[in-house]
Amino acid sequence: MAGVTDGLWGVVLTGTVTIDFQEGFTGDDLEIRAGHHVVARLNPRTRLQTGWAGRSEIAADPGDTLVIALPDTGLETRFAVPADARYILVNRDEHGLRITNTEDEPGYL
Amino acid sequence: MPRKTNGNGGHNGGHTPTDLLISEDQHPDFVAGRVDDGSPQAFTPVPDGPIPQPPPLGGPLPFPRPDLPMPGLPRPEPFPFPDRFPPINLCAAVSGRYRLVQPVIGPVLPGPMLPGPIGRPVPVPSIPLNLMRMTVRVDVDRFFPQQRISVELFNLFPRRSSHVIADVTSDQCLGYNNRRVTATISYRDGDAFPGTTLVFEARRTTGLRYGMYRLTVSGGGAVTRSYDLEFESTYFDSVEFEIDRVSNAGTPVTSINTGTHPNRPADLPVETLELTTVYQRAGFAAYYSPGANVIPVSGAAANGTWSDAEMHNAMVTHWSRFANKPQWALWVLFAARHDQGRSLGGVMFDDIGPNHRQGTAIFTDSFIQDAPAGDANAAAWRQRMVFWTAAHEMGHAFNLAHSWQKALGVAGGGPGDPWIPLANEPEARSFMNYPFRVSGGQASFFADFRFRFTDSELRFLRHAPRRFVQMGNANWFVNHNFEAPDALPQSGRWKLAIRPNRAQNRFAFLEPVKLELKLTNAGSEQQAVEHDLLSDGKHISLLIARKGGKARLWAPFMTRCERHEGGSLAPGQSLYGQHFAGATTSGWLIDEPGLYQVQAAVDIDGDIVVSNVLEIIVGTPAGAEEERMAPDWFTEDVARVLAFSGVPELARATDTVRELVERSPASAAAIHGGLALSSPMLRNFKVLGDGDAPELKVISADLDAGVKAQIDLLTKAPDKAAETLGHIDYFGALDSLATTLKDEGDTKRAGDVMTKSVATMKARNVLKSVIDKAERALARLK
Ligand SMILES: [Zn+2]
Repeated sequence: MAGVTDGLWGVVLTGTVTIDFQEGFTGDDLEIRAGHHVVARLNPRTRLQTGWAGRSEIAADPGDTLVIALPDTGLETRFAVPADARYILVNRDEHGLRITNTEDEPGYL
Repeated sequence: MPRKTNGNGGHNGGHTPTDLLISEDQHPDFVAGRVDDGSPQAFTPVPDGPIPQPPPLGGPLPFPRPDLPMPGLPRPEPFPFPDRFPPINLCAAVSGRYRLVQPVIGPVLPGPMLPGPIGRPVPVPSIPLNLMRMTVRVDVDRFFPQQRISVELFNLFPRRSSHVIADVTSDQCLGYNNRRVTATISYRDGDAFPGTTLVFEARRTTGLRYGMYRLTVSGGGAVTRSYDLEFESTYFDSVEFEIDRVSNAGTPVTSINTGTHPNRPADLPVETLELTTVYQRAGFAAYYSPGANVIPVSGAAANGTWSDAEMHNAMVTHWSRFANKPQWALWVLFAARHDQGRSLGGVMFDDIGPNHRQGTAIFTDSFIQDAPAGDANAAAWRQRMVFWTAAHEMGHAFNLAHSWQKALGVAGGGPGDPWIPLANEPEARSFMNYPFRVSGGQASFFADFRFRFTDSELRFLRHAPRRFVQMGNANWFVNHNFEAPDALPQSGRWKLAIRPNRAQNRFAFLEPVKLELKLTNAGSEQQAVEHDLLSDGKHISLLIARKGGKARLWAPFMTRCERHEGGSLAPGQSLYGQHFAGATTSGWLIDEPGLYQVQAAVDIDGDIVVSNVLEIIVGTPAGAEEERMAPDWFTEDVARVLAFSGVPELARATDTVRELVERSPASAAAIHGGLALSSPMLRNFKVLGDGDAPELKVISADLDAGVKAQIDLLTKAPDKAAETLGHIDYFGALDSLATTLKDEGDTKRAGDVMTKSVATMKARNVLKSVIDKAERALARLK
C-alpha cells in the first residue's frame, strides 16, 4: 500500500479515494481494510429517497487492494483502486457487494 | 381548480404568462375518447332520450364536453357522400373520479306500537349518514391511460374498508356516447369488496352528453350489484403544492419550456409545463398554494447549509398548511445547499415525526447546476435539471421509489417493500430515474425523456390504496367520520323505524335513553333475515347528534351471539330490538339537556337499511341534587353497570347508582338503578349442587331482598317502569324474575309476577303474539 511502511507508524498520504455506499445497506457493521489494517469502520444505512448510505475517504493509490467486509454477514469483496477513478461506488444486492467506479463525483437526488 | 396556463402563485420560472401550454385537445399524448366501428347499437335510442341523430356534418363533433373535443381520432368528415352517414360510434372521454350517488333518505312513518304520537314524519335532510363511501377511478383515456379501474370502498358496518384494482379487458363504444368498460380485479387490499368483475358504463340519457354512470360488480359467487355513480372530476385526486424558498436560493424553477434544450425527442411537443402540469397529467388536480414564503437563511445552521431536521423545523414554521396528519398537500422548499454537500441535489427529507412525506427540498447550489462540458445550451440544461429535480423530489413525497429500486423487497412489508411486485426500470425515462444513471448517461436520458412518469408509476399514483400515496402516509379514513353525507341507495325491500317506548319523545335528565328498533319486511315476498338482527348490537349502527353538535357513532356494550341465526319474515312482518342508546362503550352519548337526533341503520346482507330520524328531548335537571350527581352518574362505569344490569365488581359506580336510587327514588333513572342493584342478587350465586343428579341451586342470601326489590320496582307502577325500561327490557325482567321464583319452587309468586306481566302487556297494547307467549308461560306455572 502506497505510503504505508508495514509495521511502522510512518504514513505518507500520497492519494485518496472516495468510497460511496449506495443501495442495500441496513446499518450493519462494515470495515474497509488495507492489507491487515482496518482503515475505516462505519455502519452505512441506505436512505431510500436518495439511494445513498454513507461515504468514506481512504488514503490509497491506484493499484492498491482494498477489502470491504460486512463481518456479521460474511460478505466481503476486494478490489484494486483504479487509476482513472477517484470515486468507488459500493452497492449491495442479493448477489453480494458490487463495486463500480466513476471519475465524477456521484450526485444524489 | 388546476390551471391550464401558468398561474403559478408567484413562482414564475422566468417565462411570461403568454407561454404556451398545449391544450388537451391538441396534445398528442391526450386520448379524447373512443371511436369504434359502427354497430347496430349506434344511435339506438336510450330510454327517455331524444331521437338519436348523427353528429352534424362539416363542423366540430358535438362531444358532450365542449372543452374536451377529440383530436387525433379518426373524424368522420369530410364525408364524400353526406347522405350516407358512415356507421361509426363515438364516445367521449370517461376517465376520472366518480362516487356513489347520494341517496335521498325519505320520510319513514313507523307504525304505532304504542298508542300516541310516537313516530313523527322525518325531518329532511337527515343526519348525514356515511354508511358506505365508494370512489371509482376510471383510467381508460385522457393523458397516459393505464387501462385500469380502481374502487375504494368504506363500509361503516361492519366497519371495514377495501380497495381493488381491475385490469380493463374490454372497452367498447356501443353507440354515440354509450361506453362500456369491463375489467377484472387483479389487486385487493381488504376483503370488503365482493366480486371479480367490474363493468363501468357511461351513457347519455336525455341529451347528447353522458348522463348516467354505473358500476356493476359481479362474479366470484357474489350477488351482482349495480351502483349509480356521479362524476366528480377528470382527476383522480387533488393536491396542493406550496413552494417556499430560502432567501439565498434564487428563484424557484417551477416551469420549463420543453423546447429550449436541443437534446430532446424529435417529436416532443414544445410547450411550457408547470410542476402542476406534470402532476395534472399524472392524474391529480394539482395546484399551487397562494401562500408562498421566503425563508431566512437563519433557519439553517451557522454554516448556512441545511440539515433534515432544520428543514423539518422550517416546514413546521413556514408551511401555511402544516399539520401532523395525512393531507393531499406538499411543501416544496428551494434551498441553496444541504449539510451533505454539493453532491445532494434534492431530498424528500421528511421522514421525521409521525407523518412522513410532507416535505421535499431542491438544492440550487448543488451538482444539478453542473451542465456537461460543452453542452449546447447550458442555461437550458440547468433549468431543465432543476425542474426535473423538483418533480423528482415531489414524486418521492407521493411515495414513488427510484426506477432502479422498484423490485427492492424487504420481507414483511418493511421499509422499501413495493406495494405490488414490481420490476426494476433502470433505463426508464422517468422523473424517478437518475438521468446520469442510464446507459449512455444524461445525454441518452434526455434524448428520450418526455416529461412524464412511467406506466407503473402512474398506476401507483392513480390506483394504489390512497394511504400509500397521500402525503402524511396514513389511512384516509382515520380522521374521517360523518362529514360527507354519502350513503347507499335503498332497495325499498325493508323499512326500519326507531322510536322510544313512550307517547312523548321526552326523557328526564339522568334517565338512560333506551330506544326500540323495528324492522319490517316492506317487500311483497318472504325475505330471509337473521332473527337476532335487531337484538344483537353488532348488526346495528346508531348515529346520535345533539342539535348543532357532531354526530357520534354508538356501539353496543355487548354482542350476543357469534353464530348466524336463520329466519325469515313474511311481507308486513316485523322484528324488534331494544338498545341502551344513551351510552356507548366510550361513555355517554346523551348526557346533557337538549334536543337530540338519532338515526339507525342495519346491514341486511349488504342492503343498508336506514331508519327515520328520531328527535328526542332531554329535560333539565330536576333540582340541585340531580345536577350535583350528574358528573358521577355520566361515567363509563355507571353506563356499564346499567347496561349489564349490575356489575358488583364496579364498586364505585355501584355506589353512585345506589346513591341515586336513595336520593332520587321517584326518578326514572332510579328504576334503571334499582334493577341494576337487585339483578345480581337474583343471578350471581347460581351454583351446581352436589350429589348424583346435580341441580342448579340459588344460594344467595340476598335472594329474598332481590325478589322483593324487583317486585316493588316492576309491578307497583308498571306503566312507569315499562315506559322507561322499554317493553323488551321490562317484560324481559319480569320473565326472568318469574323464572327465578319458579326455580326456587315459589310458583305462587312466579304466577303473580306473570299475571301482572300479562295484564300490563294488555294494557299497553303489546303485540298479541308476545302476550300469547306470556300466557302460555303463565299456564305452565299453574
Ligand atoms: Zn430521489
